[in-house]
Amino acid sequence: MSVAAAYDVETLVLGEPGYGTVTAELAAPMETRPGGGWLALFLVSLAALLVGVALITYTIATGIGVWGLNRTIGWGYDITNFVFWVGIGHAGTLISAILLLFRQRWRTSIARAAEGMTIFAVLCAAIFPLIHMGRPWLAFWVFPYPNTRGPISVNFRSPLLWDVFAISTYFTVSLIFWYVGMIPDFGTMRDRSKGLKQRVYGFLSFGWDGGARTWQRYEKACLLLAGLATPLVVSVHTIVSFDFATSVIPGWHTTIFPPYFVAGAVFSGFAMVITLLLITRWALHLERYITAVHLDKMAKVLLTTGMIVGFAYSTELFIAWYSDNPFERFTFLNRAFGPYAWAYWVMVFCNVVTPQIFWWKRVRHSVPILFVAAILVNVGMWFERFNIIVISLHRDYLPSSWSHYTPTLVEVGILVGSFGLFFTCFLLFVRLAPVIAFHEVKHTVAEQVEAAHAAR
Amino acid sequence: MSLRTVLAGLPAVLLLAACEPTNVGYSPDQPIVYSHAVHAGALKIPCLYCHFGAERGRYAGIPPAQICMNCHTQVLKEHPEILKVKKALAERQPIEWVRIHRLPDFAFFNHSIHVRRGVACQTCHGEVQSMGRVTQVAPLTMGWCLECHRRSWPKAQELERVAALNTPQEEAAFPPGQAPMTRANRLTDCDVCHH
Amino acid sequence: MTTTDDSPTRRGFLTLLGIGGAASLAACKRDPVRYALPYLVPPEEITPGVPVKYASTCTACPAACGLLVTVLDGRPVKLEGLPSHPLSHGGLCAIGQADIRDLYDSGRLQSPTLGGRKVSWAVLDEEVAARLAEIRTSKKTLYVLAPTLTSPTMREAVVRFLEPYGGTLVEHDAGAHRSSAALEAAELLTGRALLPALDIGKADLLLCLAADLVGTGPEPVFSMRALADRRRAAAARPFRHVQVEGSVSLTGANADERWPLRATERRELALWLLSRVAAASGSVPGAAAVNEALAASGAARTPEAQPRAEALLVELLAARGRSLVVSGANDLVEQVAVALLNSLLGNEGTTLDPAHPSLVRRGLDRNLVDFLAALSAGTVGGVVVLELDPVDQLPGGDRIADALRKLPLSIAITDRPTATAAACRVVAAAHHGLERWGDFAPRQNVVTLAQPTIRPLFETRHPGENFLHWGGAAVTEFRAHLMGAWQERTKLGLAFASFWDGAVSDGTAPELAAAFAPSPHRAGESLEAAVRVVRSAAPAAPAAPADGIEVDLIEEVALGDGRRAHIPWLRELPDPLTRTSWTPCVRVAPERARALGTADGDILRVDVAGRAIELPVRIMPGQHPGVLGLPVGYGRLDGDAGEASRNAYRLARFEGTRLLTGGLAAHAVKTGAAMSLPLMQVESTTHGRAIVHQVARPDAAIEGVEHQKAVSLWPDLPQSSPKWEMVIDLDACTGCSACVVACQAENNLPVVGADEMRRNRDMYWLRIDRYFTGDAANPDVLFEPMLCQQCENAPCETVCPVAATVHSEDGLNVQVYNRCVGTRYCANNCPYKVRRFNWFSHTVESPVERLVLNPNVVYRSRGVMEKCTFCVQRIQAARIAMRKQGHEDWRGGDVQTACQQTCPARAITFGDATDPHGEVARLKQGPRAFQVLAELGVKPSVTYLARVRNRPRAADGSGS
Repeated sequence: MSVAAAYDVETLVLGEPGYGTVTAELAAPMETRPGGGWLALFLVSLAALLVGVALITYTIATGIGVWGLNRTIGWGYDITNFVFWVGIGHAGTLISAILLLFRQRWRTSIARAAEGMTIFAVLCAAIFPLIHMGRPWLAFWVFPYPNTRGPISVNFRSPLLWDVFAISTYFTVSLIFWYVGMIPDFGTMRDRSKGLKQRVYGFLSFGWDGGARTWQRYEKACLLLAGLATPLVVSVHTIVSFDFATSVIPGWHTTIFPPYFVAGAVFSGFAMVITLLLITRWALHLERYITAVHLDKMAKVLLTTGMIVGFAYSTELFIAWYSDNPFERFTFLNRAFGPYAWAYWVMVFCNVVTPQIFWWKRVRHSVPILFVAAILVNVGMWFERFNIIVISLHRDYLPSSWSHYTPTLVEVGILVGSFGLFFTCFLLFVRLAPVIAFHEVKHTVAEQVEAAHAAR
Repeated sequence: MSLRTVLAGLPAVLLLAACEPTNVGYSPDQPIVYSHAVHAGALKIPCLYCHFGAERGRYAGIPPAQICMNCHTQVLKEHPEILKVKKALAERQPIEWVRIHRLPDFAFFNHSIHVRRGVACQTCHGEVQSMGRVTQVAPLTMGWCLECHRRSWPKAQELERVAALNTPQEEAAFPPGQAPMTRANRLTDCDVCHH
Repeated sequence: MTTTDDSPTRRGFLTLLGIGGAASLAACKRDPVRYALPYLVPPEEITPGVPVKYASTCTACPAACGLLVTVLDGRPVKLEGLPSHPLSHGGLCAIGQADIRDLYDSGRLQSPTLGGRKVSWAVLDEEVAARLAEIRTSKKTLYVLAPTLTSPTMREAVVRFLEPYGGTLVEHDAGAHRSSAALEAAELLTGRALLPALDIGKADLLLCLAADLVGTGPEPVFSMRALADRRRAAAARPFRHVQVEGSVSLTGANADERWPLRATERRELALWLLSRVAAASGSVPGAAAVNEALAASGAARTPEAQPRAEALLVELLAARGRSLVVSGANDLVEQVAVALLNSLLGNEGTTLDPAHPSLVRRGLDRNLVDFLAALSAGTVGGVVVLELDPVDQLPGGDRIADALRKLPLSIAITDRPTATAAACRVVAAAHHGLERWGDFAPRQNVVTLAQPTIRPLFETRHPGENFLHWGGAAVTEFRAHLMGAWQERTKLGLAFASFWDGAVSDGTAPELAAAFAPSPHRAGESLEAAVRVVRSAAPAAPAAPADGIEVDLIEEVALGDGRRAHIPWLRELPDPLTRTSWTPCVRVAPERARALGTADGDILRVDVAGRAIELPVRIMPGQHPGVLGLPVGYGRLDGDAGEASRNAYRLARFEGTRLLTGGLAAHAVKTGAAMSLPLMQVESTTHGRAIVHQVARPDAAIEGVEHQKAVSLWPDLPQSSPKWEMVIDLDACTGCSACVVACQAENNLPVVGADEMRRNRDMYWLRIDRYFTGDAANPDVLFEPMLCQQCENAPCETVCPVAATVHSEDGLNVQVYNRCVGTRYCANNCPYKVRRFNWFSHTVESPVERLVLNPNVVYRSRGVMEKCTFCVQRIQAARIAMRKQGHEDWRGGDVQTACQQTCPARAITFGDATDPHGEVARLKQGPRAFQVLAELGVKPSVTYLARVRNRPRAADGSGS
């Protein structure tokens, strides 16, 4: 193995911890009492979650009227949040599946967390299509099931229906992938713990025996699932983008959306992974396993996808001008200079300007800058969806219907609530399940040692 | 494995399919013990004699007490049930019949057109002429309506066909499920019943 | 393990589970027992669920349009125009359409009161009789204050009642438009204080001096139809309509040319035109006299914009005998000048018909002034106020109220608690118009009848019966009295009974008009008197200095004089010009707004001779910079929770024998306060988009729409018949908004209130978009009714996940409320934004008000999307009717949508587009035909015909 490769491998785990140490350190969060940092974070998230629950209940009891929407602007925060969260949900599977297939070693210590994030993000996303309905209690009508009404079929031409299938599939596969990945570690936990805890981990470990055959089958299963998940990573946001691309509203009706959305999703997903990992790293003292190399690589991904997104923005503008379609042209001028111009420029700054700082290695390695930048990117990506949805709608074809949208506190509260749900889940996850894959890290350590010897 | 998934899905499907129960078999007590078997069956009184609304408009209607008295001022004057009707008329107290056949208020069903096109009352209400006490026999669900509306029917009969209706227990104009309707009528559009 | 050994038991188990679940669900969802109460004895002509239509007459205003009342299960559910009516021709205005909501209004008086206490009619009559007796013995007089009584029999009853007391009937037309001076001018010239009937059909040039013929004039429906018919004929005979006014009126918005002038300037123009016309028509009798008189008075000063005036003069002279000059001013000189103009131009007998005058305006200010003088002098013994509200509708209303309180006998006959009723001791609760018998003579040669279409809902009485009772008439039942009266007039003897039934069921009969003999009129007899007026005309001193502000009180089409201001349908109805809803606004010219430093919604304090009111500003292009338009009808006790600060009537002023409502010198200041206006439409212009068109000639083609030819990769939908389509003629449409209210009544549209309107959450299925084009200071106004276009390739249909909106084979875009889950995706994807979402539940609480709902249309629940259906319930009813006749291939019979039916201008055509001989197919071929956003390829089923603006020369810079 080449020195470069060796260098690369080596720094994925700092020092040369023995297997015992690795297990002990990684299992610590599940075995020790929560620290002050974690507790504080958890309480805040839980509070936010409760706010969200209360406001959703209020909305469903009173009517969508408690939001700021109107006859012209039928979607606002609701679908913005939906697309935002689905986007976040991308990085996980991308990292664990695609990077696995490409044999990217550096994924090992971040993959598990990313997968967890995916699951929770998709959960958050799923809330919004449900509660944005005028009659959510009839939501089950979007599923094709035998009924006494003819039967009435669902409308397979509707992108909203495609979403239902795309997202539920994505969620299922990601969930299985996530769980299967954790089985060996659950086995380890079962062996380390006793009492009720042991029985729970025992059940979760699905009778893991650590035998050679088991390992071999396990590896194969992971590979298969990775293969299965890979196309989904692309398909989900492609289909979400169809919600807009297949419509007739200027600013929505555009063919660039599928790649544009996928790139944006990876962009925002990675930003969120960085945010989470930096927090976890600090809260659970995992500096040894999440190293500069990881941060460096993720920062590079941000830079790349950030530029793809920026390119997409400019393409949109160019095509709007090139199309010579008055409605199209107006829509994009209106984005940049209309009543919502501020939102547009926030987006441009966060998504196009911010990542540029990652050209410098020092910046890529600086935790605080990385943290701030990642959060900015998330803000920017939220605004991207807001701009696409609200700015396009508020001034469409007939000026007589033009209107303005201001969210109500209820909507803001529900957004906060979704973050509450997300972080509550994640924080519980890091204490109840192995947030970094023991066996993979050990594997990496092994390689490192070997490489080190080879280098000597 | 596959069989298991199928089986696992089964109850879910059953539950969903069962979400809209029908009132089939509903047969409540009525304030006045009235037998269609006697009137429509034995006495061969035409359905439309009492339910005259059925050929005029949307509602078939429950007969006004007046209609009963058309005959019962002559026959069975002292029958306890008839006395109830007389009492109601005397006290101007409408009789509270218990409603059996009911459609949701977002479904607009017009009796007259069905009657005029020669759909037998029995098609939807069952063999009422043999019911001592009326029971709902048809589910009256949308799917059930569409069973007829979807079929392609022979050209409609002349209006004389309606006469046939006036003799319920003989072969009605069309035995249940064979009302005349041509595809050209396009009567499966949602707006035919929902507006 | 293999599946074979354990699967059977497993399957069995699961099946059981499923069935168990089903059973439990079924059990929990059994409906509650419902009862059905049939009639004991079926009433005549009522078959449950089968509508019956009765002819009647609208009582919402004196114009007395014909009504066709749809009665279902014994209650009226919809008002329509009576097609056979000689004046309204089946049209009905917004206020008329909303009258049915008034019938079921929970705010109506439900029983007579005496000094505020509910009493029986017997007690009330006793009290009144006693007081009347006192008056008879005392020296005092008795007055009846009423609006113009279009009903001959009613009028007769009132006069008979007054006779023994030597009392007087004072007719007063409430509202901003005063016809008093016009009546007096007519009196001078014809000997009768009656307005000559206008025959716009014969006119090639219509010159209106601040007369709002089609909007809020005396007979809007009649005028609208006449004007629209004339415009339709313009291809053969060119037609021009010039409007000279200070405050933009609906008529002005529809004119070919608008010329903003102040009241004084208009007067000058009229006199100047008169002098020039007189000079140019030497041979015509009286011309010389007029000339000489004008020279003497020196009032005919040359207007500032002379070239424009000259041009107008040329047009007038060119159209001798084919022109028509109308003035809305309450100024005798101007009215006489206009009358003389018409006679010198030879319009009398052609475009003006003095022989069969209109009887819908009889209010002479001088009588009102006399009455008020007597009232304050204390010589009045008793007053009966019949369906008027002087306290709220006249300046100095408070003083009137005090005077009324002091009177021994003060009676208010009204169906609502008004400010006047509050001041009167006796309140005789009146039937609503739809509960009344009646007769109406809007013209000397037109008599129509009204019949009640529902039993009185409350303990009320026919207004006329009061006079019969108190006058001690033998027959006190109004129906009997009415029949008696007509039996006398018609002298039909025994044949009368059968004749009467026919007349009632038709709503009118020629014999009635014949029996109602016109009083003789002596044309031109007293030209001298008129000339004397002209001579006396002093050069009018401008009410305000050239740069000063003057106020014109105006009426909004929704509220009129404000008598119906309490009806939520009308309060919410957005004004066609300002697009505001629920709120009275000061209409200010952009230039003036800049000078005042105010924007939309800033509260302006308008002060007229010490009396001030504060209203938000609405910038109104086309308004004369020196003129503020203030709507009346708001701020009244029964209309607007008595927010007196909004009652513009307080600004009117008595001057001599005249009640001035226009040209009032005023000054306005910004208060600093501001409010957000409930606007139906925020943007005022098309932003240069080709979405509405106007052309210069009726046969001219629209320019710049070539690119709108949509190309499709897909095969068209299979053509099936019928295919419902609509054509809307923008040249006929005046924006009067009758269709909007008709739609609301027919389709159970909820009222959402001012706050929801502010949030742009109106629930209108049909709206009238208003766009300004051309010159920003005095733009052309374009109205474009916008409703669901029933697209063949409907964008809304593809996106609904549950298929709640689908295409019917009749070419309709169907919305199935009970399937809708409310994703709002369809509304987002609608290019026309005509879909409306139920943000909240709009349940009608009051059981009485619920009676107005149309039982053939579902009342939509919360969270459901809704939209225009082309009145599919009517289509289905027609289909059933046809197929009951055994027709297989039906062409739809005569289906009319609610909006089409009520349109006074007949701007809307609806029908089967696949019928080659159909009207729709014909109109779609016309040169003015265009479809909105055709380039999207959604294939709308609504076609528009471009507006025609006949502008021979660049009159005012503004073009299409």
